[in-house]
Amino acid sequence: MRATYRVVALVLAAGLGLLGLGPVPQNASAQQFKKVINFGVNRGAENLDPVTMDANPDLWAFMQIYQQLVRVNVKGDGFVPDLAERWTTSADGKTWTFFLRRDSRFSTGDPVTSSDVVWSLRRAHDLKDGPWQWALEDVQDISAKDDHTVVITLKEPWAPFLADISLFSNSILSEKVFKNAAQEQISNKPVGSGPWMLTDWKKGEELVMKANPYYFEKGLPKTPELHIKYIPDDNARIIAVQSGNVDGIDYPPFSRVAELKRDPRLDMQLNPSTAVAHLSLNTREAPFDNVKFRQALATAIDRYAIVRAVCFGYCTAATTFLPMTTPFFNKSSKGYVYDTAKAQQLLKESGVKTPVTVKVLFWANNPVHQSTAVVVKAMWSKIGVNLDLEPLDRAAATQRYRSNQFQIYITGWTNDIPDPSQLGAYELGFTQSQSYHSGYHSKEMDDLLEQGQREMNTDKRRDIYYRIQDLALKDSPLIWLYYAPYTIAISKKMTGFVQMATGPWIFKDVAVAQ
Amino acid sequence: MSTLAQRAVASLPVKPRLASGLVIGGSMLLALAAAALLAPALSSGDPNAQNFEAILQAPSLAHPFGTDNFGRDVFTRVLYGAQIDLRIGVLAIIFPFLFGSLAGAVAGYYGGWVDAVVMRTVDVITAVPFLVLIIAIVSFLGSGEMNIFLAIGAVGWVTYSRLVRGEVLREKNLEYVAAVRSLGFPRRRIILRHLLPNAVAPAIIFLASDVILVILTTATLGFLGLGIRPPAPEWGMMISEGREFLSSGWWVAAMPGFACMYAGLAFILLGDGIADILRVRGQ
Amino acid sequence: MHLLTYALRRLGQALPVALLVTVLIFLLIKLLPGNPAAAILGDRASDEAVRALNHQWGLDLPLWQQYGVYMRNLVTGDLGQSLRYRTPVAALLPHRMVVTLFLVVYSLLLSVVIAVPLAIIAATNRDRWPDQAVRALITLPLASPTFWVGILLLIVFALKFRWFPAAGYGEGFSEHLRALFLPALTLANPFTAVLARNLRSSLIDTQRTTFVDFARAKGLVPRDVLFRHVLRAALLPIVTLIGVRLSYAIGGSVVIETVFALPGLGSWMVESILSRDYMVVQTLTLAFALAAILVNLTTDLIYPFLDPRVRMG
Repeated sequence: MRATYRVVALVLAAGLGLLGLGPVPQNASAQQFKKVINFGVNRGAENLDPVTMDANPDLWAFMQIYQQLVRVNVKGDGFVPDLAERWTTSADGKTWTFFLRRDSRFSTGDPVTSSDVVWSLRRAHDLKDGPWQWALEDVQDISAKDDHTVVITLKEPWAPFLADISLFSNSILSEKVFKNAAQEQISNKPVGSGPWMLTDWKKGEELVMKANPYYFEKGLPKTPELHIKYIPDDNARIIAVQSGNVDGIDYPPFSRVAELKRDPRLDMQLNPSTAVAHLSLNTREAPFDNVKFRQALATAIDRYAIVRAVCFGYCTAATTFLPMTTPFFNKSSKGYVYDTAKAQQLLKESGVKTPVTVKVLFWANNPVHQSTAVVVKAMWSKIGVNLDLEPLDRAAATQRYRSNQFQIYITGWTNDIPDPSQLGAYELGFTQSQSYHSGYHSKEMDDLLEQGQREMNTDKRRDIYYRIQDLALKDSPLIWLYYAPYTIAISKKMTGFVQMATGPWIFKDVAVAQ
Repeated sequence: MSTLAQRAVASLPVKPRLASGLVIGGSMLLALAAAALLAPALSSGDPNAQNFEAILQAPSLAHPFGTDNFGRDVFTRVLYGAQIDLRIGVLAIIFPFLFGSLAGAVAGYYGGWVDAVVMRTVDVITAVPFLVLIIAIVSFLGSGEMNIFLAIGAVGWVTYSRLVRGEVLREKNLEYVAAVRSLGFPRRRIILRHLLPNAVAPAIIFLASDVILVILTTATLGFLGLGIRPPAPEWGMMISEGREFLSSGWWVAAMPGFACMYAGLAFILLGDGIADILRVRGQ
Repeated sequence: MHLLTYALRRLGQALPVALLVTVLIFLLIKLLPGNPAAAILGDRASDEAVRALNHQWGLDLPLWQQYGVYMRNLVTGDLGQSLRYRTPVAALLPHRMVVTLFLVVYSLLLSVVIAVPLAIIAATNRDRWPDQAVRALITLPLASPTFWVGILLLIVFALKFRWFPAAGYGEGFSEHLRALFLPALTLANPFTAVLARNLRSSLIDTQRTTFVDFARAKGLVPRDVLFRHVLRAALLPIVTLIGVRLSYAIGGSVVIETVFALPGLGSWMVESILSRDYMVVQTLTLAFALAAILVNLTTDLIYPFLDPRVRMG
């Protein structure tokens, strides 16, 4: 008996000794501010080449490193100078001249000249089948007039041109470094003129950036080092910011917002965004080819219930297809009002026999998509529509979606430019994506979209886009659900953090107190 | 039996406690199965009824286990979930246990090339990471119960075969086997009637924990989005979905977790009881 | 010598097994719907862009040709390219492997450290209260979902008490020990219980067999009997279970690595399957296969040393 206890005691002692348990010693430093900003994110970056990437984590990372000719302002409704300090347009609207600053330099020390701009934009324009080619579609020629002047000529006057040129894919890279570089180098080793430069990249783990010593705004960035850490698990990420392991995180889930708002250590932010969540309906197959059926489905959705269930009250019910922050959003449009009786009436008028079973496809392991599907299922059961849930892993779901083998697909959009033309063309126009793969093809809509891009008069443009919004609601190839703000939780010790309405964070003014 | 062995058996104390594991575990299990079958009567009747006025309410008289983020009654979902999980847990281990034990016994007894073939197959299967296989099958066929059975059946028999083979390797050289063989019994009878009942004890003990491992594997699949199709009230999925609400509604994930524990305890006690019986009989 | 020939024979059998595994996985993964170009380029990429990228990666060649290319590269030491990260797999592998190995070995040590004393207490006090207490103690965690236990440990020990970091791997050895403690403990959870139960049952069995009587007859004191003979024989099921467990270790570590944000092989494997990063899946599977074969072989070779009654068939 005694031997047993002795054994146990010995083993436990050895075990505890091995661990060296104890509280973490606090760093009593004399400095006022931290030298490193630690930021936790839920998705890791994979490709830092502005022209070939297509994922928020990638672009939000390289936006710290690269600059564009002009930049979208924080609110998302206008433009500010970036590499170009001013610009002029010709009378016919077809020639744009950009005058570059003289003091911007890449992290290598080389000055940014118009030859870098021409090379970068030509590359973005010439890449075949890239995801962002549409932004430079109307460009006829890009040339350098002198070392600090760039002239861009368009085929036609193009209303959203400034928005397009501000797109992140039109970042300015160093021609000297990348002229003959392999794709891998551009993707893995960015060299830009922005406030930060990449010094280390542990793939799938952490991006380490240091201040660009040649950045043109003197004294910035305020903190010399920035670490972007990949922490995919929501709970772990929240605990990391609550315990001080990181100074801020992105995407705390909506279910935690109330609790984080009550946390005295944190500043729980809900930043305006350009994000819209919606359902894509495959209008090629019955019963979704029937417009009254689609309208019935849209009317049978209680968007306020979805906002409560999926966003815990922190989103806004969607009305039109545009995000609220985008110019020409129709504030007085009511969208679809929840009305079960009206939905049943529409269903009867459509001629579709109930009960009818339809399927919804969505990304597995995505709690937001799943919640949405579960709630919609309950709502539609009230009008005799039985919704079967079909979660698939991302690659399989993408395959089905791209080959149009779905009935309903849960997805969403984040507007990248402060202009409705990108979203309109992609979502409601047939050419680019078959109207978000819904197969919707309306000549009236296509004409309106075309007009919207060419009309230079703001008021007339507004009218056109109001008509587009109404038509989209009437034809309902997609069902728009809600607008979601960006959720960010930062430590109260962090000051100067800004998130743009289009999504990217700005860290150059950030200082974190000890 | 040699006099030494006879003395060993004679010195064993009588065991009334043999029955206790079996009885307690068995009755716990019966209670759970009864609750599962009577779920419609014992609960609110609809595990999917949503109520947005009653989101994330703490346990109360109206909702003994509280409500989840859709206002669904957690107690109802746990009871209906018992139907799903008991079914999966029990059905998914039958094939692995039977097939694996037999394969292991045969491999251990015969040795030689039979052993090599079985054990190399075991090597290949254990070499393929379990999750790769599961994801492959489920991605290929679609999510759902049937495919979970297929995947677990294809992979799960391996542990049983190794456990049983290990015991058989040890047992086959014991005296009583030589004794029985010298009596001229056919090999098949030796394996089935004499070796297997003794060698299978560790397999039965593992069986009890395996049921729970199966339920938890289903939960892990739910965690990766490859489990039973939502909104099914499967315990593992409920725990996984409840992860978001650990601070705002701990009961959503805790209650199905406790149900898991209860079921696990029941199976393990049952398994111990059975193993105890087998152990004594085999002497 | 007998043992040596057995070992060589097994190694000889191991190679075709490893090869078979690579073919199996290759086919299995390629059969999955979806392709890496679509997954990587995103929903908005055009069909031509997807096709072009797939072509660039040689993914539109017939399957047997792709397999041939893979094997040829393997033989020359080229482990392929991660399509997702556009970096050679060999560059990403070592760090991830170290993390997972650290985690697995740590958790095995914790398992043994916790399970062995518990099993001894239980077995030597059979059916009295210490036995019941131990059995209750180990059964409850056995029935709990691992990731749930992990999150609870995280909330209590990393958040409330701040004894351990909440996520990540840390820098420096002592930081690693601290960062991996909670994940290793969580990972050890089910195995500790299974180990303790099996060990307890084996200890009970061996106590009653003839050769314990024999040892007693030799005049040995009960404690020596315990340590010298009984434990040694009871190690057989432990070794078996460790062997099987190591093979499942990667699967088990996936959930843990995700919850605690550890950059290990398990989480990398699942991410790669989901994004159809074929080369990574191939190489990782091959690595796991070789490791599993080695572990199986080692445990089989140790058997006779643990229990002289076992003879290699």
